[in-house]
Amino acid sequence: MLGFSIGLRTLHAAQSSMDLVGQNVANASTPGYSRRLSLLQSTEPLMLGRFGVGTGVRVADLRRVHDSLLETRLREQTHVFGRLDATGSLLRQLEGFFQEPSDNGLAARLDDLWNSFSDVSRSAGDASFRDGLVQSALTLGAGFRQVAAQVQSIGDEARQGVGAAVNVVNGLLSEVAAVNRRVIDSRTFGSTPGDLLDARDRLLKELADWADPQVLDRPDGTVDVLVDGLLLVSGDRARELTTRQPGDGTVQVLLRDNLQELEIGSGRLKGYLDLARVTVPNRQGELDAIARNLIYEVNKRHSTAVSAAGPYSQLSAAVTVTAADVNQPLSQIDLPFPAVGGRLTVNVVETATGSVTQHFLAVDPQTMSLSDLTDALDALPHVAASLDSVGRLRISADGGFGFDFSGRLDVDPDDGGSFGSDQATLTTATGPFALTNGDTLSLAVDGGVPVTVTFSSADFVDITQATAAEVAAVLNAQIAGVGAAAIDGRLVLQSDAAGPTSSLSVTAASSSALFAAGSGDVGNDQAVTVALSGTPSDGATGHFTVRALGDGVVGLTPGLEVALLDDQGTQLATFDVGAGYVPGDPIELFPGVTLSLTAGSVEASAGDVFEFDLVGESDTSDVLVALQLGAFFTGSGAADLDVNSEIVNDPRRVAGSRNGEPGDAGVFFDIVGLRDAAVEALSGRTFAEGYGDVVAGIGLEVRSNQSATDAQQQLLSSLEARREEISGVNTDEELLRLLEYQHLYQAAGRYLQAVQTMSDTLFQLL
Amino acid sequence: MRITQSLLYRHQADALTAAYLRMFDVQAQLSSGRRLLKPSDDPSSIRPALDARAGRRQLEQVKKNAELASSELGTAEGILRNASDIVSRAQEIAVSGANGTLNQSDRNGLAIEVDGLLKQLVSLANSRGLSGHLFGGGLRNSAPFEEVETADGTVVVYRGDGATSSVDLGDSLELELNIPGSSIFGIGARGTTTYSSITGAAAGAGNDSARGTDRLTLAHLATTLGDGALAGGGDSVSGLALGASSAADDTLLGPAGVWSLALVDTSGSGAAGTVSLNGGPPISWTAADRDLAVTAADGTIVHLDFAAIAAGFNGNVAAEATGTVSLDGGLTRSAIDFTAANQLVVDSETGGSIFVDMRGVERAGADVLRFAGAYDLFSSLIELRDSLNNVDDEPLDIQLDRIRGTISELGRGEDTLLATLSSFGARLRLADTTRSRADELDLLLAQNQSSLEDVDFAQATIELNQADLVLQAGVAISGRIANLPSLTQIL
Repeated sequence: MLGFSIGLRTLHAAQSSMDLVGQNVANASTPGYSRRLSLLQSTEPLMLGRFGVGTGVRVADLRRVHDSLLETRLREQTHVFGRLDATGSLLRQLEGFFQEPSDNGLAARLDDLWNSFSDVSRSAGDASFRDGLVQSALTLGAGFRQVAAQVQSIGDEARQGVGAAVNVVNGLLSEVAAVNRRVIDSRTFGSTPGDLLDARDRLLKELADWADPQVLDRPDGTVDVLVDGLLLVSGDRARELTTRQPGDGTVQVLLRDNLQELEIGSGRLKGYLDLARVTVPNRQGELDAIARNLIYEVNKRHSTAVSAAGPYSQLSAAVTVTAADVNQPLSQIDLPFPAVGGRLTVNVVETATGSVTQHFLAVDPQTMSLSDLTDALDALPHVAASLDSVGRLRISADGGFGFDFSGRLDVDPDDGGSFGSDQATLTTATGPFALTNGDTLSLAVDGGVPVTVTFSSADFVDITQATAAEVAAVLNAQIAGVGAAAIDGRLVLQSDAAGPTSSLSVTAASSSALFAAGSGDVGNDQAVTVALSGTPSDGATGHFTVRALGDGVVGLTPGLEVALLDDQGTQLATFDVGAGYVPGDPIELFPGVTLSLTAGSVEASAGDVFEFDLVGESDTSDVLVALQLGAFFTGSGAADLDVNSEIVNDPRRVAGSRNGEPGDAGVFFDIVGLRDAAVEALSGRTFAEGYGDVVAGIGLEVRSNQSATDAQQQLLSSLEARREEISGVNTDEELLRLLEYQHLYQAAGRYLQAVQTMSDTLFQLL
Repeated sequence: MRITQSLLYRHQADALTAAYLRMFDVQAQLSSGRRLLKPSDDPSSIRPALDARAGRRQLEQVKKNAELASSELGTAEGILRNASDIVSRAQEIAVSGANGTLNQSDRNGLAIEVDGLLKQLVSLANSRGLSGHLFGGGLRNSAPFEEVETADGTVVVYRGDGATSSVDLGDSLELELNIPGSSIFGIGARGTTTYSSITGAAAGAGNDSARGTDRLTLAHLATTLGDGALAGGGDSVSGLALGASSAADDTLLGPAGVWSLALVDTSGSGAAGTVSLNGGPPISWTAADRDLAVTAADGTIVHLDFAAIAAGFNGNVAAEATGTVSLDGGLTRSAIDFTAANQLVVDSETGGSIFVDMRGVERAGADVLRFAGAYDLFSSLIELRDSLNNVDDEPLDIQLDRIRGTISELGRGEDTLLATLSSFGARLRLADTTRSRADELDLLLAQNQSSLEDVDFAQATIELNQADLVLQAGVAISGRIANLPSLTQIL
């Protein structure tokens, strides 16, 4: 009876199809579910002689309606979205940290600093506004540190994100491998694992949110997953990823088994990696560049200024150097700013008289160590320098003295009073002097008994080429009542006593290399006082000499002149100081620099001369900035920018005087000028512009991320819609299909009834 | 194309989210009034907005500095006007004081008023502004001018420095707020030095650097008579010796040949006679006169001891005397070189120096030195006061000459003052224009900032309405989707 079997098959087919409708309706809202279609097919016909007779129907296939190409595209777009989305949320946080535009951001605080410097510049001579300046600077420092820490925290978060993402990816990879195994298992029993494939598609899509997997279908129904060309899932085996932080703040993703590094191309993982490796370091770098140059430019000016409280009596470097580095060349050790080859000016000031002695230290960071520098400073008269227990350079002045590093003018260049002196003075020609071992010089001071000095070759590097300084040292050691000094290469002898009763007389000399026997000089009542003042307005710099060109009285002798010479001995100019000169009137030596002489006698014949230095830039070596001596700011970047604690503790140490006068605000104006100055290290931008570019850059990044995310979301939505269109469940459609199968079932039932009636009829016949 | 129910719902959900987001954005802008709340709101506007804000903060400082400058300069200008009034009044007094018909007590009365003017001027010069003393240069915390009584008269000393303090007016423009007092109340071009020449000292050839009125004190040191062989410098030929007061009170000065004593022993025994100094009236002496003051016609005095006059002496005894010179009332002295055409003398208190021709010096005393053109306002007033008071006890014609001399010095001082005033005026105008320009610029930048940062309310309101409309439509459509007919209703 074929009829029964046909009916039964029909009932089965209708039943299964209705179950499928039920399954579809049940999963109408399940994400990633692909609707199933039951494909009904007539069964193989039975050959009855020449006729093939149909044998009914069967469910040939439960088809999963699904477009694998679309799935691939969906995954591709998902990882792009994942990357943008992961970056976006952290970028928006980063943007928020800058608090711009507002009155609390760094831009406002930077302006506050300039304004405070401007306030201070108005009254450089008194302590008012200094507290306000320190407060502004502290606020700015705190702001830089806070923003730097917050930017850093974004980096930390991104690194943590990488770790978390790697864990999620590992989980997903092993799940895909597990599904693969079940696919293989189920294949063994011959059934089609539609739900497994859905699950795997869902896993792969989720994986695409985190990374950029390449999915290869295998003939056995499994998939291989590759990232960066490396096989991560093959069949039922998955490899794990791990992370490593190389210590430079970045992070790497590697295979756990062979530690091979992977370059993740997209997905959230890529977003976090980009933030940790590129975005955050770049922003930190930009912010650091601004902070760093601010520290450099302000400190460079501040460290060579003199505070209203006068020269330093003691000063500590803010930079500490480890014991191991103390003897290393400065260029080899880790300093916040590098020292370069140059010259450091140290002025030692006698507090009572204000007299300044300039010293110049040559600094070569390739050869000079911190301890060398300390020794060089310590060797200066009235200044002591040492390294404290934590490796900080400390400089202190003797009681009654102070020191500074300004380019101030030595207002009293004729310290010894040898120019127009009222003491008895003897001057040689310019050295070196050809002495021989055992040469003697007998000198009577103030008419006393002559003292004989013997020159021994032991006292000279080369006695035949004796320098004025060497001879001076010998004389100073051996004769009392007279001072010897080397001025302008000449040996100048001067009696300690002044006035007409003082005298020097060479009673005997074995060689006339220094003085001829019988030469001598008597003091007088008319000392000339030399005073320099001003600041070179055209930045003139160098070592200069002023020499008397004749004998006579300042303000009286017709034609009496002095000459100004440079360090090559070239005569730059001559000035009338005789009948045409009113004693005390200023003579302009250089623009902004004047010389005045009081009335008195000068003698070219006695070699009357004095020297002075114009110091344009007083620290060309940057060693003050490098060690942060007399610094305004400490630190080397945004993360550690702070105000020098010496200044916080005593705001009077804020220094702004260029020429040493308490009322001078030259350096404050220089610093205020930084507000509008194009900073070379910031590509010719001002600090505000540099900072504005950082903020605008982040804004642009957030903005472009947002629009890209929006666009991606739309693309993704349309792809999802397309997927839904193909694989989604329309309940009405399913219900119609249900009706159809219900009718089929009912029809099959009627058919069976008819077949049974037929067979009943047959049986009754029996 | 197939549409599924979940597609409908999801699409609706996306649309509603978008509508809410738009609503949220517009609402945040409207409620804050700003459209640029964070850089990403409009990345192209953030740089200009930050620049505008920085510019306004700088302008705020410029305005503050300009206001302070204008206040300081205004105060200084007012003070200088007062000073100028004082100087004018002093000139009037000088003119009336130079009238020969006044008597000394009238002039003393005028001198009191001048002294008052001097005190007023010193106090004006020590005026304070907002940030300390106005005329002290860079030193603003202590009074720059101080009236000091020195050994040889009153001087007003400048304690400030030569620095100027400036304010920053932006764009690297620095405006000097003050002029050091030394140059405001200071001196003009130096003229010749006048000696009242009681002593015979005269101006040398060199250039003097002392200022105002100064006094050159020539003091007697030691007298020598004849051959000077007797103890104490007496003459062994005539037996004429020096009296006990000679060293202290003699006023003659000069090398040999200037002074001579005509000594006559009228008694013949050395007991009594006459003596006359450089042809002055003969004075009688007796051997009992051990310390007789002998005065020449010009008042020069020598003290003589007649105890041991050679009997019957009738002849001339030469006299010479050494001395010291001082320009600071005797604080520092140096020996007089009677052969010097240009002896340098320095005032240790002021540092000023003069060249003196000592060749004509004959007697001790204080010469009044006036350095024409080298008077500052203070020394002019002091000179006027002192000459009105006739502190140097000079004859009327010299006194009147000195009073007249102050008129031109005061005139010069007033010129300096007026020149300073006009420079203050110019700076004041610069400060004011800077301030008003800063105000205008600030307004422009404020508009600029507003256009970059602030919400266009009209537009934002329209946007809010649109967003509202979209949201309402979205919600309404959601309701309709829920009520879509379905086969379930039929089955």
